[in-house]
Amino acid sequence: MVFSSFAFLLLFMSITVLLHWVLPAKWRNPFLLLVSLIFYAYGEQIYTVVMLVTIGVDYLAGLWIGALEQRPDRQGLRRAVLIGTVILNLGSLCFFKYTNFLLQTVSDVFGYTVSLLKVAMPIGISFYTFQNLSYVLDVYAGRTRAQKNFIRFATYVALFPQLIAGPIVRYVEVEEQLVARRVDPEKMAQGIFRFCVGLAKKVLLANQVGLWASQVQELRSVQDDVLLAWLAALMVTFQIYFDFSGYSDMAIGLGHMLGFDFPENFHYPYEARSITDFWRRWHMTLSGWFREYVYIPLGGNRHGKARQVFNLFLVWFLTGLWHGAGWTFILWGLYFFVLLVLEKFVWGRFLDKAPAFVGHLYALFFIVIGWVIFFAEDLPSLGQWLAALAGAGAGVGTQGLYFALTHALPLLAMAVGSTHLPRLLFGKVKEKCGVRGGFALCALGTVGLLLLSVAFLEADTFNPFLYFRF
Amino acid sequence: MDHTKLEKTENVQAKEPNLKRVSFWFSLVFFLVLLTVGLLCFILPQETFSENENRVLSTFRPSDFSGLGDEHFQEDFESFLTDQFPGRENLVRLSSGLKYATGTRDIGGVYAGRNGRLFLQVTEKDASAGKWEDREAALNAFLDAFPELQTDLILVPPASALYAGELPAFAYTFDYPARIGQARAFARTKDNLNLIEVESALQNAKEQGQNLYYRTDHHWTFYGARAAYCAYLEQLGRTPAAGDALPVSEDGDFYGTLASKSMLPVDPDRLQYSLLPEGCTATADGKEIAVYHPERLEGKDHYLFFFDGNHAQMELHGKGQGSVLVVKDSFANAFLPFLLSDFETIHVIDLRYFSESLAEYLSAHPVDRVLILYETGNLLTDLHFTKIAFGLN
Repeated sequence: MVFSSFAFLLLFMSITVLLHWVLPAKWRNPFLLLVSLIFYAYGEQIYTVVMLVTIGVDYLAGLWIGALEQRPDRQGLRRAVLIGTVILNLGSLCFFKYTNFLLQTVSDVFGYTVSLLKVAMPIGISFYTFQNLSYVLDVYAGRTRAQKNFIRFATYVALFPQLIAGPIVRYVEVEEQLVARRVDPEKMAQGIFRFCVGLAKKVLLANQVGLWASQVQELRSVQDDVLLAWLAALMVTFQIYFDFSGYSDMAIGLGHMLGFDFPENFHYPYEARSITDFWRRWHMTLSGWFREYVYIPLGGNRHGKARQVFNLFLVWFLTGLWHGAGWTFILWGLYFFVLLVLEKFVWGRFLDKAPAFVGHLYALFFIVIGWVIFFAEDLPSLGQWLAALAGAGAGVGTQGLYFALTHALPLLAMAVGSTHLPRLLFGKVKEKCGVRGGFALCALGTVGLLLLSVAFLEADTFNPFLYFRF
Repeated sequence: MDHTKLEKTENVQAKEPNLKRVSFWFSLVFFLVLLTVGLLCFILPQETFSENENRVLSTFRPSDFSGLGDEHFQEDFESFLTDQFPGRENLVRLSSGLKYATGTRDIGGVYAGRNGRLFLQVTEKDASAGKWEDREAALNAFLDAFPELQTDLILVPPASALYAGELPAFAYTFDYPARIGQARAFARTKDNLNLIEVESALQNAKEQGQNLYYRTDHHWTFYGARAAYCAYLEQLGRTPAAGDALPVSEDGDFYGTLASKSMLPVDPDRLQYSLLPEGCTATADGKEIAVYHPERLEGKDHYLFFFDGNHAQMELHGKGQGSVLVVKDSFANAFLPFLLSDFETIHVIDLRYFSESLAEYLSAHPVDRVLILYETGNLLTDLHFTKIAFGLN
């Protein structure tokens, strides 16, 4: 089930939040677990079993590792349990996500024809695998204690708001909330506001600009020029930000409705002044996860520059691979590795001293090129896209002008919308309205955004047939 | 990052305990309203057909819950909710209005042009060169199978060619001149094919102030069809008997297919028609039908006025001489009534619905000549045209 579906908006969300609200505290976790499993099984059917097995394995592993903590003589076993669990988790992720990519690569390189597996990737597996690993690793490192209550642990993993698209919530961040949380009306109202803002970002902005991007890409397949190439690059840049941050907003908002505080995932990433800065603002829970569980355990920057560069390389190779099974994604990760290393050791100092606008332009340019790598279908089309951006295509045709002209206003709005300005402005207006007036303003805005989002969702399904039905 | 916000909320809470009550009621009402709307989809009488979309809507019966856990359940259930959502069409109108207001000029596959004129968006990708070649191959097989039979081809220009000035600025369409050029080159290689170019005739009619295409529908009007009809008869070396026919009547409030597709707020069209000539009979798929269907002017799609829409096969008996077979799309529906004054027998085949062999049909119903009439974009996007070569080898 996705948040931007009517089944979720009209039925699942309202029933879940209302029942969770009225239930006695001790019934809340079992209830949340149950509805989360329904949420998942509704779209994924049999793959729910994969998640349940993962939950079971990690629950037992956590208990085992926790129990061995006080046994200095059994540290070898404890380590072995950890390694085994990590391998099981990553093995399941790799099997579902990367098997076909590997088979394809092998067949491309060696010229065999390998038949691909008929497995679909269980939705959210990249997210919940990382959540589970955070738990097992933290128990091992003694940062938290093993969760003895199975329902509580299963609720953490399966929790529907962040199950399928993040944020990646570390176990330690919600540990206490799993035991005791208050469903507070004010927090709930805030959650509703946040959810609707996220929904609007997804439906009104991301879906629309995504549609235009695909129209522009279709045109580019017939005749390419520099304007179309840049329009496409800009459009996917906005699409992924509003899509992903919108989904995170919805997850955080839903968390508030259920009494949870999930970590923030985006902090105006397109306001970054460097690529280093960008990655402190983009998908923060993922970069935080890699820092915490890969970069620092590998030694981070404590073992000399060469080792640091290698650590960075590994982190960014994995980050690329995490985003998808494909060479463009790996290239995308390594692209950031190169930029980050260059910033760390070559031009970072100059960048810090340069005027702000230089930093912004520099960062934006490389961010946009990054999304071109990310969205390119394969390496040859990436080459064509980059060449077209550099002006290697035909002269500017009228199609690009059409898109530039008809979508100038929304694109400008999205540019402003990805900065902190709207929030600042809205905050000022809200302040003027007083406390209750401010609330009324938020409520009205929320209802308006929801109505427009529903209208756009309806319009997406509006499919007239010109001719008689067969 | 959101600590400032949280702190603020807490401060506010301390100062203004009332916000708690407001929040409580707001949240409660918010979810209850959503739930009610969801339940209304079940409770309200379910609509089974959407006139604007010309399609069957998804419905739901309690027994359908037995499919829960099915792979398709999610999809089916979602289309039920979206199709039965209260006020659905008004919401779509709201979204189209907002899209238009913020600058978008192609909505639901329709260009919103100037002077309230809507255009079907057919891009080069939709109607590219390769598609012409497929159709040319099928037509070639047909022409070779009937070397003695004279075939005329009318490729109706798209509205965007005649009303290019009313398209949104820089709007892109498929390369109509290029496709006509290909058709011309092909016709030169075939002795029994004559491409009748009607664009200049339409252009002349337009310059006389006639509106040739509906503003809200993808079809041509009485005047558009009449101009093409005159050009056709003149090519045959005959005087068009209905060449000066005038519309006897005009019917208002026709919101055509393009208005339905885009759901933009536009002024309705008026459908002009003449009832000439009187006393002609027609059969469609073996059943007798009227040529004109005034009752359709009361309904949604006024263009059904002609022959009650499309039929796989029709046989018309007119007041003129000779016989012709017309292979056509729906553009011919407004065009055929003119031919009734000039031909005695008119066979009509719509390949989109005709599932038999055209060659066999022609053997059973010999005709003097053949006319293929399609709107150019339709011909290039419609897959069924290649059926013209069915049963030929």
